[in-house]
Amino acid sequence: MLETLGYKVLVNRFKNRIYSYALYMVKNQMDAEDISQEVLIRIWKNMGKFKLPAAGSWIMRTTHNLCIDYLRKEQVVKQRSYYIDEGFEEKIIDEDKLNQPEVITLQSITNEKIKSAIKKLPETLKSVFVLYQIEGFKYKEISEVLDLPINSVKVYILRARKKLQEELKSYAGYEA
Amino acid sequence: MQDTRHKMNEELLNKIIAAAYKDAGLIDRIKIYFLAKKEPEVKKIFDEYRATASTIKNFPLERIPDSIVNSLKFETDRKKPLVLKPAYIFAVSIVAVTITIAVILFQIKKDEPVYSQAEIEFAEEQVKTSLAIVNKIFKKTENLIQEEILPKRVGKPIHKSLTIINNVLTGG
Repeated sequence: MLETLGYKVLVNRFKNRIYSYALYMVKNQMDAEDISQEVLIRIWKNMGKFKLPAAGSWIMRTTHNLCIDYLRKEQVVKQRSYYIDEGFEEKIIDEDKLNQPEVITLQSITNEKIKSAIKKLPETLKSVFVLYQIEGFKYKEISEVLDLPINSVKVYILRARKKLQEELKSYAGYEA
Repeated sequence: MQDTRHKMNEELLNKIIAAAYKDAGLIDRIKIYFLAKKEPEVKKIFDEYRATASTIKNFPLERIPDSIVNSLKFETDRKKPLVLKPAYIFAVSIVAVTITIAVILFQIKKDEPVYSQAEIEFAEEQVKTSLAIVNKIFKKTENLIQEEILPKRVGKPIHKSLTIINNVLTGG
């Protein structure tokens, strides 16, 4: 009973973080869904094996490891998959309801460019960057999740920011 | 000299980036703010990074599809294999044994027939009658032995034998 309750709390708290992280790491929506589902099942199976205050680190470490496993397998198979953001058109249509469709559409395009650039970052930089900038983890938490020294985390974040800015310059028409 | 200048630029760039992402300390942020006012190059870099930083800051977390979470209900409905610590196993064993003994005792107790008061009284009457019959038989037997068997079948032959032996001894 308590276990089920604890599980529900964890799922509600981390489900979107897991999915977001997986989506940035593996680029493909379907694979991100598979990884998220696997993580949520593993949380259930391991309930009681980790302490609840440390659950966040455990969950994100599991998510990260599954993403890395997936990327390794993908490298071996060398399958090329094209990421299609099925929700992109929907987002624009939804935002058209506001009175500034042009501005909002441009903003939406800029967001997609930045997301695309983040996805192009090298794995290590990307994982640190996503955890820090998007998921809102602290240096120490990232250090625990990725098993890296805190100084390395700081250095990787800085490198990721620089690399991202370089990547964005390569987009024609990107206006800061 | 060139190396030192390059290093300084790198350090400055790092500070600009940290300020743009609002990670830098207050003093560094003020320094960069005033430097950006003076140096167009610094301002350009700072604005570029700040625009990216503010856009990223507003990124919401991607929402996981409901179907993924709903599919988990099936998994969580399955019972996990019961793994207990030795202390729990001992306690559970004790409870199980106690329950088993209690059930057995209850069953044994339940098998005993329950009689009504009338039945008990009737049985007592029957016992009394039986004992009276047995008593009567014993008394009849006692009388028979005392009055018939001992004087006639035992006493008489003994008396006869003793008379014969007496006659023989007296030479009569």
